[in-house]
Amino acid sequence: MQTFFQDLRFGFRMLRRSPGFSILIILCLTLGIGTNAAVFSWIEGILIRPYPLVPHQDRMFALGGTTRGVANGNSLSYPDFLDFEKNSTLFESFIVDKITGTSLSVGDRAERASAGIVSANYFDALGIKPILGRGFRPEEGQGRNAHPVVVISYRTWKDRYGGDPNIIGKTQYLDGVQHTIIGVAPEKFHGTFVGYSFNFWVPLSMQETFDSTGYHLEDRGARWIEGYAFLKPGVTRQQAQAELDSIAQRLEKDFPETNRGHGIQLLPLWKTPFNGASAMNQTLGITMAVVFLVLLIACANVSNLLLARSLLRRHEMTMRLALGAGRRRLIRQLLTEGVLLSLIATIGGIAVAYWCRNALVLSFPKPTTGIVIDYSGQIDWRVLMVSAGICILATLIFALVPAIQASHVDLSGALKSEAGGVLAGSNRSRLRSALVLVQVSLSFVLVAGTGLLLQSLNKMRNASPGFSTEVVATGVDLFSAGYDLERAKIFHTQLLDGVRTLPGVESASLTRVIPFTYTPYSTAPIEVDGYQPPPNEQPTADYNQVAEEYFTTIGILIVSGREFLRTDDENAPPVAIINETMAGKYWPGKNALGERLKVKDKWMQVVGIAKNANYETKREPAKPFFYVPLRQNFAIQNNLVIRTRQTPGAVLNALAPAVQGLDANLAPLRAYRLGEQVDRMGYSERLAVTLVALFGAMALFLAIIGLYAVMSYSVSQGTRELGLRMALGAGVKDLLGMVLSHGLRLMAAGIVVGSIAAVVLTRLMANLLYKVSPSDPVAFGSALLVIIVASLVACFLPAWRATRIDPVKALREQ
Amino acid sequence: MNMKSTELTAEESTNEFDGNGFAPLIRLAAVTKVFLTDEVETHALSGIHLDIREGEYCSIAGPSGCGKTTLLSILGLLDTPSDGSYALKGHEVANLSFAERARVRNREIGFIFQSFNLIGDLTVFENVELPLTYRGTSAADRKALVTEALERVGMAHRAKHLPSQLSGGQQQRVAVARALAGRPAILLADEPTGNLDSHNGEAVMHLLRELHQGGATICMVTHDDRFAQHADRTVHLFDGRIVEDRMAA
Repeated sequence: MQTFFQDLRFGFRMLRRSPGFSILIILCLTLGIGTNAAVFSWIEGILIRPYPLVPHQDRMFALGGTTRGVANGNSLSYPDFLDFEKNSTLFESFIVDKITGTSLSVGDRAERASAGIVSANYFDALGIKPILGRGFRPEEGQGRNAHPVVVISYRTWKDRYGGDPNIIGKTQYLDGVQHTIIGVAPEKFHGTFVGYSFNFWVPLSMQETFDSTGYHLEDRGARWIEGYAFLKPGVTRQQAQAELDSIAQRLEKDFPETNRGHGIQLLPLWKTPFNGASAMNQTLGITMAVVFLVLLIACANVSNLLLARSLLRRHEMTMRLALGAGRRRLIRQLLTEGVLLSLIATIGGIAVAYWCRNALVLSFPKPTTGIVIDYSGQIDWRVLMVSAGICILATLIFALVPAIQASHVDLSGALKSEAGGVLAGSNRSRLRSALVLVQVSLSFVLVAGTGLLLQSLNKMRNASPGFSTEVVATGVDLFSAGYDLERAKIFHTQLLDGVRTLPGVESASLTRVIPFTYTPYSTAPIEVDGYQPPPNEQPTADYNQVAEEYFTTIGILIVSGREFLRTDDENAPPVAIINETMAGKYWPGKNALGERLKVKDKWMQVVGIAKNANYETKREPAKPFFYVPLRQNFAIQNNLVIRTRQTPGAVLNALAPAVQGLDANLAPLRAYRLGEQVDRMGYSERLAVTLVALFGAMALFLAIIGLYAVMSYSVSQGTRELGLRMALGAGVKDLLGMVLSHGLRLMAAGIVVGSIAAVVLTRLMANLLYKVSPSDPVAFGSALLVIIVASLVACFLPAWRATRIDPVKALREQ
Repeated sequence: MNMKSTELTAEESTNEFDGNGFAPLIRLAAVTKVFLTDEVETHALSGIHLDIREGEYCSIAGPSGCGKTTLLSILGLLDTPSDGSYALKGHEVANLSFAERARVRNREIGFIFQSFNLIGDLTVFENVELPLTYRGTSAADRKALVTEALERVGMAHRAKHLPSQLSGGQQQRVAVARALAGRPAILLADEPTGNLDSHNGEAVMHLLRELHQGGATICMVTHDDRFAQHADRTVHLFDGRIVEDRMAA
């Protein structure tokens, strides 16, 4: 015990004796451990176990729709959902959780609230017990609009109702219907939609109340259900999938009209297609790879620093052995020193991870008022232990090098060789050089990757979504105000007329869905006059309901035919405007104008062909899309789009009196430019760039430290050689050249290896790139430049120091 | 081989002659060297006057700490005097810049160190070639000069070996060849036998004698009177001053 304390004391003394060295090692280890633990905590909290209070998430799978075996991004219909639930035997439960929203009035403005339309078994299946009241009863899931009951979130209870302990049984108008509050969810339960913290949950029976597209509970063609399934214990995903496939085949046979080619897929939670997980999983996957590289670089750095120090301590170790220290004793002393370093760094790493666990939310664009974004991490102790373990192992292995070297030394020879006439060769530094080479290579990969992502982001930013991003969008929540279709029609017509007369307004229109929002477009099976689909294809297309002047207002060009007129109402023949891709797909080689397509048993005539645009994200491939006149398919809830030079704030100020002039109880929703929403949908790309750039910079910083350390040590180790060269007539240029060339040779080798690695590894991020090749020469060229400049910086100081050596002192050095 | 342009030429010199009518190759006048450490002044050399003629074999002897090595460092332009003047081939060199000193060192001075100071990564040939590479000598000329130097010290057959494959005596021979290769005006040897056994020590002294007989100017520092006697002239230092300057009998 006494020797342990002696070792500990000596260990602390060693740390204090070279504080720069100690700080550098601790910094490297802290960054390595901390960043890994932080990123893995995000992965754990967002992708692997996103719902903290839900047990058995390993048996919880998302349900995703497929068309002919390929994921189609759609979900499933409620009748199908019930059939799957009824006919399966390997599942413990199926739950529905469809995101919806409503407006809650706050003063003279309306505020959005996010919510879930859930199956009656939702809380029971998830194992969530409300802290007040109860969850839903089975019967509350049935009957059209029959059960206006609501479970509110803890935050809503606290913020909106002041934590009223008698809240149960009180009522709240939601989407125009008075709902009874029956429960308050626990504090840490935010719902089962990654990225959003829900305000309340209503049972499935209230679907029509919260879905402006109408009643879908009995419509097998309406694929709107998003949900999850829990497997029974011991059942594998493959077995469960096989059972679902056979049920899907039966449904296909029984309902060919709606189910031809449609299936269902069980997806692990991190692949959930309908929430924030899908947007985040690739970003976090790449970030994980990046921080692992940071960890490797940190380990290489620490190893390098310790190896370099081992050379300086060789004499100390030899002397200790000569004075009678046992090898075990030496090893114990060095182990104590290594453990001390690692422990301090691990504590630092935990602190970094803890501070960073909720950092992702900070980088998310400011959400609409009332909506709470939730991307919280959970410190994963296993990952923290693994990261710390890797670092500690690397530290210990390389901390022991002096002892290992000393144990192979012939003492008399070693002591004599201290005064030897041959200056040390570079063999001993080969390992260190190799470590630097690895660091430079990895840094090159990261810098090149960052360059690619930056270019991609830049291109995406500059790419037009196909409509004007200057257009201002706003609306009035008639749905929440309890308007029926007729009243809504009159209100919107009057509002639109009023808006068109507002100062600065060039044009205005109505649309059911604003592009680039989470509100889903209507989708329906279609029949095209003259188009014979292959046997297993059920033609389906997304569509939007828009009013007259929509295309003029939003800036989508009608390339052929006309846009909708005010007269395209329920008294006029049904018409549609299709996009170029749809025209090309269903009427190849001929003019689609005047042709017909059938949607929901209604034939409509194509009166216009619109230029393609992006509808949900900039990266989506061109897809068939069509528009129908709003006045022929009116919905209660619509949005205003306004082409104006005024700011959104000015538009809102001008609009508020107009709205209240029509109905004193109403207030307009927030106004914003479409560009703002387009930017918001590019969040995952921006986040990926931010994270990769951040960690790439960190890796580069570590690699520069590594290169600097190696160069510094090789200069200090080669002092005698440098002194000799000076004595033999080497000038400043010769010495600078000699030291720099050593560093630059390492850099060049690192760049070559790094380029090869980058060409292979950047392909993995091809899906994140927008119109940029994974081996883009500009990104690689920039990476080359950055690494060269960084390496020159790292090498110059040691090289300059080499020229300041006093040759007399250097040659006297033993 | 165009060595002329890289050397200090007679035209550049101040052409001061000694009493015997010879221009001294080296002339130190009132040279002092003071080291300042922790505000304590240490006078390593005081009022040194020393002339060394071309072709002379001079040894500088004295007890440890008397200033021998400091004097040799100043002679070799590795260090600068605190005061006094130093003329090499009649050219004042005491206050040259770093680059100029490096140039003169490279062309006019050949060093032989006590601890050989061969570079372990370089072969014997490359070690000998090193000073010539700083001079910008062409590869063909370098090869000729290195081969000639190695032949003079009897190490030509070991040209491709690494220093670690040689004995101590052989290593010092290679170090001598390196000093000779650039055909310097003077060879400065700092305790050249200090790291050798007596047999190898004698061999190196014999080699230096041969070189001197071949016309080389040599200035050797030694604390061993036996080896000092190999020189034509012995300068004794004590406490940084010349206390005796005696020609061999």
